[in-house]
Amino acid sequence: MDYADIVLTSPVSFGYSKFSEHSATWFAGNVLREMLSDAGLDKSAVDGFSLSSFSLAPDTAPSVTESLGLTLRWLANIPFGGASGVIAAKRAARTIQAGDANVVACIGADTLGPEDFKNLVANFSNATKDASYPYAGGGPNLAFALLTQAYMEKFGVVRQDFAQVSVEQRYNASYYEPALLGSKPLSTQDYLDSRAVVAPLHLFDCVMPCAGADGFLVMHADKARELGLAAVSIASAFECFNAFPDDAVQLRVGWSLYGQELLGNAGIKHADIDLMESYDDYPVVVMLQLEGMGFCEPGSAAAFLKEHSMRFDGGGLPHNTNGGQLSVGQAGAAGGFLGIVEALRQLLHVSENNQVPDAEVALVTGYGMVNYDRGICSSGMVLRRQG
Amino acid sequence: MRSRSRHGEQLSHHLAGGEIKLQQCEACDRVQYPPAEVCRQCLSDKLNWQTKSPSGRVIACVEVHRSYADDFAEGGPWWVASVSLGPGIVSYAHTLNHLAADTAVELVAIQDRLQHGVLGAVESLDQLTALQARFDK
Repeated sequence: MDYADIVLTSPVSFGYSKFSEHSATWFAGNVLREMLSDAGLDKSAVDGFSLSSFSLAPDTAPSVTESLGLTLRWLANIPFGGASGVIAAKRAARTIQAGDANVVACIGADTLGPEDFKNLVANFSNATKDASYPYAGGGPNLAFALLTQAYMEKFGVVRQDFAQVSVEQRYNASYYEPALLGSKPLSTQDYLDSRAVVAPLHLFDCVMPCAGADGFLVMHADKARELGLAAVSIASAFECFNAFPDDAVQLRVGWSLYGQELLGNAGIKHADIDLMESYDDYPVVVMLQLEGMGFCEPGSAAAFLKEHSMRFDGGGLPHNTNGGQLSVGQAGAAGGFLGIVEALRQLLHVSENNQVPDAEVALVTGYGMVNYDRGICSSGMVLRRQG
Repeated sequence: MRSRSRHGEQLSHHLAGGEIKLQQCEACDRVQYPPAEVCRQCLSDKLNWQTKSPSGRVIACVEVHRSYADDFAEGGPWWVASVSLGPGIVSYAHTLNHLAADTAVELVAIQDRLQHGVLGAVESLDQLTALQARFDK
Protein backbone atom coordinates (compact mmCIF):
# COMPACT_ATOMS: atom_id res chain seq x y z
CA MET A 1 0.00 0.00 0.00
CA ASP A 2 1.47 3.35 -0.98
CA TYR A 3 1.18 6.72 0.75
CA ALA A 4 -0.15 8.60 -2.25
CA ASP A 5 -2.98 10.43 -0.50
CA ILE A 6 -0.88 11.67 2.43
CA VAL A 7 1.37 14.73 2.57
CA LEU A 8 3.83 16.42 4.90
CA THR A 9 3.70 20.20 5.39
CA SER A 10 4.90 23.05 7.56
CA PRO A 11 8.45 22.08 8.54
CA VAL A 12 9.74 24.03 11.54
CA SER A 13 13.09 24.08 13.33
CA PHE A 14 13.12 25.95 16.61
CA GLY A 15 15.39 27.16 19.36
CA TYR A 16 18.70 25.47 18.64
CA SER A 17 21.09 26.41 21.45
CA LYS A 18 24.00 24.83 23.27
CA PHE A 19 22.09 24.64 26.54
CA SER A 20 18.61 25.62 27.68
CA GLU A 21 16.87 26.21 30.99
CA HIS A 22 13.54 25.38 29.36
CA SER A 23 11.85 21.97 29.35
CA ALA A 24 11.32 19.71 26.34
CA THR A 25 7.64 20.66 26.61
CA TRP A 26 8.54 24.31 26.02
CA PHE A 27 10.37 23.34 22.85
CA ALA A 28 7.45 21.16 21.70
CA GLY A 29 4.93 23.92 22.38
CA ASN A 30 6.91 26.49 20.41
CA VAL A 31 7.32 24.18 17.43
CA LEU A 32 3.62 23.34 17.44
CA ARG A 33 2.63 27.02 17.55
CA GLU A 34 4.88 27.82 14.60
CA MET A 35 3.65 24.83 12.59
CA LEU A 36 0.01 25.78 13.14
CA SER A 37 0.75 29.39 12.24
CA ASP A 38 2.40 28.27 9.00
CA ALA A 39 -0.55 26.03 8.13
CA GLY A 40 -3.23 28.52 9.20
CA LEU A 41 -4.73 25.86 11.41
CA ASP A 42 -6.33 26.12 14.82
CA LYS A 43 -4.89 23.86 17.51
CA SER A 44 -8.23 22.04 17.68
CA ALA A 45 -7.60 20.66 14.18
CA VAL A 46 -4.72 18.55 15.49
CA ASP A 47 -6.12 15.19 16.58
CA GLY A 48 -2.90 13.17 16.39
CA PHE A 49 0.47 13.84 18.02
CA SER A 50 3.77 12.01 17.72
CA LEU A 51 6.51 13.06 20.14
CA SER A 52 10.18 12.07 20.18
CA SER A 53 12.33 13.16 23.10
CA PHE A 54 15.04 11.91 25.47
CA SER A 55 14.54 14.68 28.01
CA LEU A 56 10.85 14.55 28.96
CA ALA A 57 11.22 12.80 32.32
CA PRO A 58 9.41 12.96 34.65
CA ASP A 59 6.88 14.10 32.05
CA THR A 60 5.48 11.82 29.35
CA ALA A 61 3.77 12.22 25.99
CA PRO A 62 0.35 12.30 27.74
CA SER A 63 1.54 15.00 30.15
CA VAL A 64 2.83 17.08 27.24
CA THR A 65 -0.55 16.58 25.58
CA GLU A 66 -2.22 18.14 28.60
CA SER A 67 0.38 20.90 28.93
CA LEU A 68 -0.19 21.94 25.31
CA GLY A 69 -3.96 21.80 25.69
CA LEU A 70 -4.44 19.20 22.99
CA THR A 71 -7.37 16.81 22.72
CA LEU A 72 -6.34 13.81 20.67
CA ARG A 73 -7.56 10.53 19.28
CA TRP A 74 -4.04 9.26 18.53
CA LEU A 75 -0.81 9.75 20.50
CA ALA A 76 2.59 8.19 19.86
CA ASN A 77 5.88 8.31 21.73
CA ILE A 78 8.79 7.47 19.41
CA PRO A 79 12.07 8.06 21.23
CA PHE A 80 14.08 6.16 18.62
CA GLY A 81 16.99 8.59 18.38
CA GLY A 82 18.18 9.25 14.87
CA ALA A 83 15.53 7.07 13.27
CA SER A 84 12.65 8.96 14.93
CA GLY A 85 11.65 11.50 12.29
CA VAL A 86 11.13 9.14 9.38
CA ILE A 87 9.38 6.57 11.58
CA ALA A 88 7.09 9.25 13.03
CA ALA A 89 6.14 10.41 9.52
CA LYS A 90 5.55 6.87 8.28
CA ARG A 91 3.36 5.87 11.21
CA ALA A 92 1.44 9.14 11.15
CA ALA A 93 0.71 8.59 7.45
CA ARG A 94 -0.58 5.07 8.08
CA THR A 95 -2.70 6.32 10.98
CA ILE A 96 -4.37 8.91 8.77
CA GLN A 97 -4.91 6.37 5.97
CA ALA A 98 -6.61 4.09 8.52
CA GLY A 99 -8.92 6.91 9.55
CA ASP A 100 -7.64 7.07 13.12
CA ALA A 101 -6.63 10.73 12.88
CA ASN A 102 -6.89 13.62 10.43
CA VAL A 103 -4.01 15.96 11.24
CA VAL A 104 -0.94 14.65 13.05
CA ALA A 105 1.75 16.92 14.49
CA CYS A 106 5.12 15.12 14.52
CA ILE A 107 7.65 16.76 16.82
CA GLY A 108 11.14 15.99 18.07
CA ALA A 109 12.03 18.17 21.04
CA ASP A 110 14.88 18.04 23.52
CA THR A 111 16.34 20.31 26.10
CA LEU A 112 19.87 20.08 27.49
CA GLY A 113 21.43 21.26 30.73
CA PRO A 114 25.19 21.31 31.38
CA GLU A 115 25.31 17.87 33.07
CA ASP A 116 22.48 16.22 31.14
CA PHE A 117 24.49 14.58 28.38
CA LYS A 118 26.93 13.06 30.85
CA ASN A 119 24.01 11.55 32.76
CA LEU A 120 22.36 10.31 29.56
CA VAL A 121 25.58 8.54 28.54
CA ALA A 122 26.03 6.90 31.94
CA ASN A 123 22.46 5.57 32.03
CA PHE A 124 21.46 5.13 28.39
CA SER A 125 20.47 1.45 28.68
CA ASN A 126 21.16 -1.53 30.92
CA ALA A 127 23.59 -2.93 28.35
CA THR A 128 25.57 0.32 28.25
CA LYS A 129 25.61 0.52 32.05
CA ASP A 130 26.86 -3.06 32.38
CA ALA A 131 29.13 -3.56 29.41
CA SER A 132 30.06 -0.23 27.79
CA TYR A 133 30.27 2.64 30.25
CA PRO A 134 32.68 0.76 32.62
CA TYR A 135 35.15 0.70 29.72
CA ALA A 136 36.60 4.18 30.08
CA GLY A 137 33.20 5.87 30.03
CA GLY A 138 33.49 6.62 26.36
CA GLY A 139 29.75 6.65 25.64
CA PRO A 140 28.71 6.76 21.99
CA ASN A 141 32.19 8.04 21.09
CA LEU A 142 33.56 4.66 22.18
CA ALA A 143 31.07 2.59 20.16
CA PHE A 144 31.63 4.68 17.03
CA ALA A 145 35.39 4.85 17.46
CA LEU A 146 35.39 1.05 17.49
CA LEU A 147 33.15 0.97 14.42
CA THR A 148 35.29 3.58 12.63
CA GLN A 149 38.51 1.72 13.46
CA ALA A 150 37.06 -1.58 12.20
CA TYR A 151 35.88 0.14 8.99
CA MET A 152 39.31 1.73 8.46
CA GLU A 153 41.17 -1.54 8.93
CA LYS A 154 38.80 -3.59 6.79
CA PHE A 155 38.66 -1.18 3.86
CA GLY A 156 41.99 0.64 4.08
CA VAL A 157 40.28 3.98 4.75
CA VAL A 158 42.25 6.77 6.46
CA ARG A 159 41.25 9.80 8.56
CA GLN A 160 41.52 12.16 5.63
CA ASP A 161 38.75 10.21 3.90
CA PHE A 162 36.32 11.01 6.71
CA ALA A 163 37.29 14.68 6.65
CA GLN A 164 35.19 15.19 3.52
CA VAL A 165 31.99 14.65 5.49
CA SER A 166 32.75 17.10 8.30
CA VAL A 167 34.28 19.74 6.04
CA GLU A 168 31.59 19.74 3.33
CA GLN A 169 28.79 19.71 5.87
CA ARG A 170 30.40 22.70 7.59
CA TYR A 171 30.33 24.48 4.25
CA ASN A 172 26.59 23.78 4.00
CA ALA A 173 26.11 24.98 7.58
CA SER A 174 27.73 28.30 6.75
CA TYR A 175 24.62 28.97 4.62
CA TYR A 176 22.14 27.84 7.31
CA GLU A 177 21.83 30.48 9.98
CA PRO A 178 20.55 28.31 12.90
CA ALA A 179 23.54 25.92 12.67
CA LEU A 180 25.36 26.33 15.97
CA LEU A 181 28.78 25.81 14.38
CA GLY A 182 27.96 27.37 11.01
CA SER A 183 29.99 30.50 11.61
CA LYS A 184 33.20 28.54 12.27
CA PRO A 185 34.89 27.59 9.00
CA LEU A 186 36.46 24.13 8.94
CA SER A 187 39.28 23.06 6.63
CA THR A 188 40.65 19.58 6.04
CA GLN A 189 43.77 20.63 7.92
CA ASP A 190 41.67 21.85 10.87
CA TYR A 191 39.97 18.47 10.88
CA LEU A 192 43.25 16.54 10.80
CA ASP A 193 44.88 18.75 13.46
CA SER A 194 42.01 18.59 15.96
CA ARG A 195 42.48 16.85 19.28
CA ALA A 196 41.79 13.17 19.74
CA VAL A 197 38.60 12.29 21.60
CA VAL A 198 38.47 8.51 21.26
CA ALA A 199 41.04 7.83 18.55
CA PRO A 200 40.55 7.36 15.66
CA LEU A 201 37.73 9.85 16.36
CA HIS A 202 38.87 13.43 16.78
CA LEU A 203 36.94 16.56 17.69
CA PHE A 204 35.29 17.20 14.32
CA ASP A 205 34.10 13.61 13.98
CA CYS A 206 31.82 14.10 16.98
CA VAL A 207 28.52 15.93 17.22
CA MET A 208 27.99 18.65 19.77
CA PRO A 209 25.00 17.84 22.01
CA CYS A 210 22.52 20.73 22.18
CA ALA A 211 18.91 21.71 22.80
CA GLY A 212 16.43 22.23 19.99
CA ALA A 213 13.31 21.03 18.26
CA ASP A 214 11.96 20.19 14.82
CA GLY A 215 8.54 19.25 13.54
CA PHE A 216 6.11 18.93 10.65
CA LEU A 217 2.43 18.24 10.02
CA VAL A 218 0.98 15.16 8.32
CA MET A 219 -2.46 15.23 6.70
CA HIS A 220 -4.53 14.17 3.68
CA ALA A 221 -3.47 15.77 0.43
CA ASP A 222 -7.03 17.10 0.09
CA LYS A 223 -6.78 18.83 3.45
CA ALA A 224 -3.50 20.52 2.45
CA ARG A 225 -5.08 21.68 -0.82
CA GLU A 226 -8.07 23.06 1.08
CA LEU A 227 -5.67 25.03 3.28
CA GLY A 228 -3.65 26.19 0.27
CA LEU A 229 -0.52 24.57 1.68
CA ALA A 230 2.49 23.58 -0.36
CA ALA A 231 3.17 19.95 0.43
CA VAL A 232 5.50 17.01 -0.01
CA SER A 233 4.38 13.43 -0.57
CA ILE A 234 5.86 10.20 0.76
CA ALA A 235 6.97 8.06 -2.17
CA SER A 236 8.12 5.14 -0.01
CA ALA A 237 9.32 4.38 3.51
CA PHE A 238 10.70 1.66 5.74
CA GLU A 239 11.72 1.10 9.33
CA CYS A 240 13.93 -1.71 10.61
CA PHE A 241 15.19 -2.85 13.98
CA ASN A 242 18.15 -5.04 14.97
CA ALA A 243 19.25 -6.05 11.48
CA PHE A 244 22.14 -8.53 11.18
CA PRO A 245 22.43 -9.15 14.94
CA ASP A 246 25.18 -11.76 14.55
CA ASP A 247 27.57 -9.54 12.57
CA ALA A 248 30.62 -8.99 14.76
CA VAL A 249 30.77 -5.34 13.72
CA GLN A 250 27.94 -3.25 12.30
CA LEU A 251 29.07 -2.65 8.73
CA ARG A 252 25.57 -3.54 7.46
CA VAL A 253 22.40 -1.93 8.80
CA GLY A 254 18.72 -1.98 7.76
CA TRP A 255 19.41 -0.04 4.54
CA SER A 256 21.15 -3.16 3.22
CA LEU A 257 17.91 -5.08 3.75
CA TYR A 258 15.37 -2.54 2.54
CA GLY A 259 17.24 0.16 0.63
CA GLN A 260 16.67 -1.24 -2.85
CA GLU A 261 13.01 -1.90 -2.06
CA LEU A 262 12.72 1.70 -0.86
CA LEU A 263 13.90 3.07 -4.20
CA GLY A 264 11.89 0.48 -6.14
CA ASN A 265 8.67 1.32 -4.32
CA ALA A 266 9.28 4.99 -5.07
CA GLY A 267 9.87 4.15 -8.73
CA ILE A 268 13.23 5.90 -8.77
CA LYS A 269 16.89 5.20 -9.41
CA HIS A 270 19.84 6.74 -7.58
CA ALA A 271 20.28 9.32 -10.33
CA ASP A 272 16.75 10.64 -9.66
CA ILE A 273 17.65 11.71 -6.12
CA ASP A 274 18.23 15.46 -5.92
CA LEU A 275 19.41 15.51 -2.33
CA MET A 276 20.05 13.19 0.59
CA GLU A 277 19.73 13.80 4.30
CA SER A 278 21.44 11.07 6.31
CA TYR A 279 21.95 10.62 10.02
CA ASP A 280 25.39 11.93 10.82
CA ASP A 281 26.32 11.36 14.42
CA TYR A 282 29.75 10.38 13.07
CA PRO A 283 31.15 10.44 9.49
CA VAL A 284 31.41 6.65 9.29
CA VAL A 285 27.63 6.38 9.71
CA VAL A 286 27.10 8.70 6.73
CA MET A 287 29.32 6.38 4.72
CA LEU A 288 27.42 3.27 5.84
CA GLN A 289 24.18 4.91 4.68
CA LEU A 290 25.59 5.69 1.23
CA GLU A 291 26.83 2.12 0.93
CA GLY A 292 23.73 0.50 2.40
CA MET A 293 21.51 2.49 0.05
CA GLY A 294 23.53 1.23 -2.91
CA PHE A 295 25.15 4.46 -4.07
CA CYS A 296 28.45 2.60 -3.92
CA GLU A 297 29.98 -0.69 -2.80
CA PRO A 298 30.80 -1.39 0.86
CA GLY A 299 34.01 0.40 1.81
CA SER A 300 33.95 2.76 -1.17
CA ALA A 301 31.97 5.73 0.19
CA ALA A 302 35.12 7.83 0.52
CA ALA A 303 35.82 7.43 -3.20
CA PHE A 304 32.14 8.14 -3.96
CA LEU A 305 32.27 11.36 -1.94
CA LYS A 306 35.38 12.51 -3.81
CA GLU A 307 33.33 12.37 -7.00
CA HIS A 308 29.99 13.52 -5.57
CA SER A 309 30.26 16.72 -3.57
CA MET A 310 27.99 16.96 -0.54
CA ARG A 311 27.71 20.72 -0.94
CA PHE A 312 24.22 22.07 -1.61
CA ASP A 313 25.63 23.92 -4.59
CA GLY A 314 28.41 21.50 -5.54
CA GLY A 315 26.76 19.76 -8.45
CA GLY A 316 27.23 16.31 -6.88
CA LEU A 317 24.80 14.71 -4.47
CA PRO A 318 23.74 17.53 -2.11
CA HIS A 319 23.82 15.86 1.28
CA ASN A 320 23.05 17.10 4.79
CA THR A 321 22.35 20.43 3.22
CA ASN A 322 22.02 22.43 6.45
CA GLY A 323 25.24 21.04 7.88
CA GLY A 324 23.67 18.06 9.61
CA GLN A 325 24.17 17.36 13.26
CA LEU A 326 27.93 17.66 12.89
CA SER A 327 27.47 21.38 12.32
CA VAL A 328 23.96 22.22 13.54
CA GLY A 329 24.27 20.26 16.80
CA GLN A 330 22.59 17.10 18.06
CA ALA A 331 19.40 17.90 19.95
CA GLY A 332 18.75 14.46 21.45
CA ALA A 333 15.94 12.59 19.72
CA ALA A 334 15.11 15.80 17.85
CA GLY A 335 18.35 15.10 15.99
CA GLY A 336 16.38 12.35 14.32
CA PHE A 337 14.08 15.01 12.85
CA LEU A 338 16.80 17.30 11.53
CA GLY A 339 17.16 15.48 8.21
CA ILE A 340 13.50 15.08 7.33
CA VAL A 341 12.65 18.66 8.27
CA GLU A 342 15.56 19.97 6.19
CA ALA A 343 14.43 17.77 3.27
CA LEU A 344 10.92 19.24 3.53
CA ARG A 345 12.27 22.81 3.39
CA GLN A 346 14.36 21.89 0.36
CA LEU A 347 11.46 20.24 -1.49
CA LEU A 348 9.10 23.10 -0.64
CA HIS A 349 11.79 25.49 -1.97
CA VAL A 350 11.69 27.56 1.22
CA SER A 351 15.34 27.13 2.21
CA GLU A 352 16.84 30.59 2.45
CA ASN A 353 20.53 30.56 1.52
CA ASN A 354 21.21 26.85 1.06
CA GLN A 355 18.48 25.95 -1.42
CA VAL A 356 19.27 23.07 -3.80
CA PRO A 357 18.02 24.35 -7.18
CA ASP A 358 14.91 22.60 -8.53
CA ALA A 359 14.86 19.98 -5.76
CA GLU A 360 12.10 17.45 -6.52
CA VAL A 361 13.13 14.16 -4.88
CA ALA A 362 14.87 13.65 -1.53
CA LEU A 363 16.15 10.57 0.26
CA VAL A 364 16.13 10.69 4.05
CA THR A 365 17.78 7.94 6.09
CA GLY A 366 17.80 7.51 9.84
CA TYR A 367 19.78 5.53 12.39
CA GLY A 368 19.67 5.41 16.13
CA MET A 369 19.74 3.94 19.61
CA VAL A 370 23.06 2.35 20.44
CA ASN A 371 21.92 -0.11 23.07
CA TYR A 372 25.43 -1.55 23.41
CA ASP A 373 27.81 -1.79 20.45
CA ARG A 374 25.53 -0.86 17.52
CA GLY A 375 22.53 1.21 16.50
CA ILE A 376 19.33 -0.80 16.72
CA CYS A 377 16.99 1.39 14.65
CA SER A 378 17.25 2.34 10.99
CA SER A 379 14.84 3.96 8.60
CA GLY A 380 14.49 5.40 5.13
CA MET A 381 12.03 7.55 3.22
CA VAL A 382 11.78 8.95 -0.28
CA LEU A 383 9.99 12.31 -0.43
CA ARG A 384 8.70 14.00 -3.55
CA ARG A 385 7.68 17.62 -4.12
CA GLN A 386 4.04 17.83 -5.11
CA GLY A 387 3.84 19.27 -8.55
CA MET B 1 29.05 4.44 42.66
CA ARG B 2 28.46 3.34 39.10
CA SER B 3 24.97 2.22 38.24
CA ARG B 4 24.48 -1.28 36.82
CA SER B 5 21.54 -3.58 36.26
CA ARG B 6 21.00 -6.47 38.69
CA HIS B 7 22.69 -8.85 36.27
CA GLY B 8 25.44 -6.36 35.60
CA GLU B 9 26.11 -6.23 39.34
CA GLN B 10 26.44 -10.02 39.41
CA LEU B 11 28.81 -10.00 36.47
CA SER B 12 30.94 -7.30 38.07
CA HIS B 13 30.90 -9.10 41.44
CA HIS B 14 32.29 -12.28 39.87
CA LEU B 15 34.94 -10.32 37.99
CA ALA B 16 35.99 -8.46 41.13
CA GLY B 17 36.62 -11.87 42.69
CA GLY B 18 38.90 -12.75 39.80
CA GLU B 19 36.46 -15.06 38.08
CA ILE B 20 34.98 -14.72 34.60
CA LYS B 21 31.44 -16.01 34.66
CA LEU B 22 29.15 -15.53 31.68
CA GLN B 23 25.49 -16.28 31.37
CA GLN B 24 24.64 -19.54 29.67
CA CYS B 25 21.13 -20.61 28.78
CA GLU B 26 20.02 -23.81 30.48
CA ALA B 27 17.60 -24.58 27.65
CA CYS B 28 19.70 -23.97 24.52
CA ASP B 29 23.28 -23.66 25.86
CA ARG B 30 23.86 -20.29 24.21
CA VAL B 31 26.35 -18.05 26.01
CA GLN B 32 25.31 -14.40 25.99
CA TYR B 33 26.92 -11.08 26.72
CA PRO B 34 26.07 -8.45 27.91
CA PRO B 35 24.00 -10.17 30.59
CA ALA B 36 20.22 -10.00 30.32
CA GLU B 37 17.18 -11.59 31.91
CA VAL B 38 16.06 -13.66 28.93
CA CYS B 39 17.99 -15.74 26.41
CA ARG B 40 18.21 -13.83 23.12
CA GLN B 41 18.07 -17.09 21.19
CA CYS B 42 15.31 -19.20 22.74
CA LEU B 43 13.72 -16.72 25.19
CA SER B 44 14.20 -19.00 28.18
CA ASP B 45 14.71 -17.15 31.44
CA LYS B 46 16.77 -19.99 32.92
CA LEU B 47 20.21 -18.43 32.65
CA ASN B 48 23.09 -19.71 34.74
CA TRP B 49 26.44 -18.09 35.50
CA GLN B 50 29.11 -20.43 34.17
CA THR B 51 32.84 -20.04 34.72
CA LYS B 52 34.59 -19.45 31.41
CA SER B 53 38.11 -18.83 30.18
CA PRO B 54 37.11 -16.96 27.06
CA SER B 55 39.44 -16.36 24.20
CA GLY B 56 38.56 -14.34 21.15
CA ARG B 57 39.79 -12.05 18.43
CA VAL B 58 40.04 -8.29 18.46
CA ILE B 59 37.48 -6.60 16.22
CA ALA B 60 38.89 -3.13 16.85
CA CYS B 61 40.90 -1.28 19.47
CA VAL B 62 40.68 2.43 20.27
CA GLU B 63 42.35 5.01 22.46
CA VAL B 64 40.12 6.93 24.88
CA HIS B 65 41.50 10.42 25.45
CA ARG B 66 38.33 12.02 26.70
CA SER B 67 35.96 10.18 29.00
CA TYR B 68 32.56 11.02 30.44
CA ALA B 69 33.49 9.07 33.62
CA ASP B 70 35.38 10.91 36.36
CA ASP B 71 37.54 7.88 37.24
CA PHE B 72 38.99 7.93 33.73
CA ALA B 73 39.64 11.67 33.65
CA GLU B 74 43.32 11.15 34.47
CA GLY B 75 45.92 8.55 33.60
CA GLY B 76 44.90 8.21 29.97
CA PRO B 77 44.83 7.49 27.22
CA TRP B 78 42.96 4.27 27.94
CA TRP B 79 42.82 1.49 25.39
CA VAL B 80 39.59 -0.40 24.89
CA ALA B 81 38.99 -3.24 22.44
CA SER B 82 35.87 -4.90 21.14
CA VAL B 83 36.45 -8.65 21.13
CA SER B 84 34.52 -11.27 19.20
CA LEU B 85 33.93 -14.27 21.45
CA GLY B 86 31.83 -16.19 18.92
CA PRO B 87 28.83 -15.63 16.67
CA GLY B 88 26.80 -12.75 18.03
CA ILE B 89 28.92 -12.33 21.17
CA VAL B 90 31.00 -9.17 21.47
CA SER B 91 32.60 -7.87 24.66
CA TYR B 92 34.42 -4.65 25.35
CA ALA B 93 37.62 -5.05 27.33
CA HIS B 94 40.46 -2.92 28.64
CA THR B 95 43.80 -3.54 26.96
CA LEU B 96 47.37 -2.63 27.81
CA ASN B 97 48.07 -0.96 24.50
CA HIS B 98 46.81 -0.82 20.95
CA LEU B 99 45.97 -4.19 19.42
CA ALA B 100 45.49 -4.71 15.71
CA ALA B 101 42.29 -6.20 14.33
CA ASP B 102 42.21 -9.99 14.46
CA THR B 103 44.78 -10.26 17.28
CA ALA B 104 44.08 -13.38 19.36
CA VAL B 105 43.38 -12.44 22.99
CA GLU B 106 42.42 -14.01 26.30
CA LEU B 107 39.85 -12.29 28.49
CA VAL B 108 40.91 -11.67 32.08
CA ALA B 109 39.20 -10.32 35.19
CA ILE B 110 40.56 -7.07 36.60
CA GLN B 111 39.44 -4.42 39.07
CA ASP B 112 39.04 -0.82 37.97
CA ARG B 113 39.74 2.27 40.06
CA LEU B 114 36.36 1.96 41.76
CA GLN B 115 37.26 -1.64 42.68
CA HIS B 116 34.56 -2.84 40.33
CA GLY B 117 35.22 -6.02 38.38
CA VAL B 118 35.64 -5.50 34.64
CA LEU B 119 37.06 -7.40 31.68
CA GLY B 120 40.53 -7.07 30.24
CA ALA B 121 41.96 -8.57 27.07
CA VAL B 122 45.60 -9.66 26.85
CA GLU B 123 47.69 -11.38 24.21
CA SER B 124 49.21 -13.62 26.88
CA LEU B 125 48.29 -14.14 30.51
CA ASP B 126 51.65 -12.82 31.73
CA GLN B 127 50.39 -9.32 30.78
CA LEU B 128 47.63 -9.48 33.37
CA THR B 129 49.73 -7.91 36.14
CA ALA B 130 50.74 -4.97 33.97
CA LEU B 131 47.16 -4.39 32.87
CA GLN B 132 45.89 -4.49 36.46
CA ALA B 133 48.65 -2.09 37.48
CA ARG B 134 47.20 0.60 35.20
CA PHE B 135 44.19 0.74 37.49
CA ASP B 136 46.12 0.52 40.76
CA LYS B 137 47.79 3.90 40.34
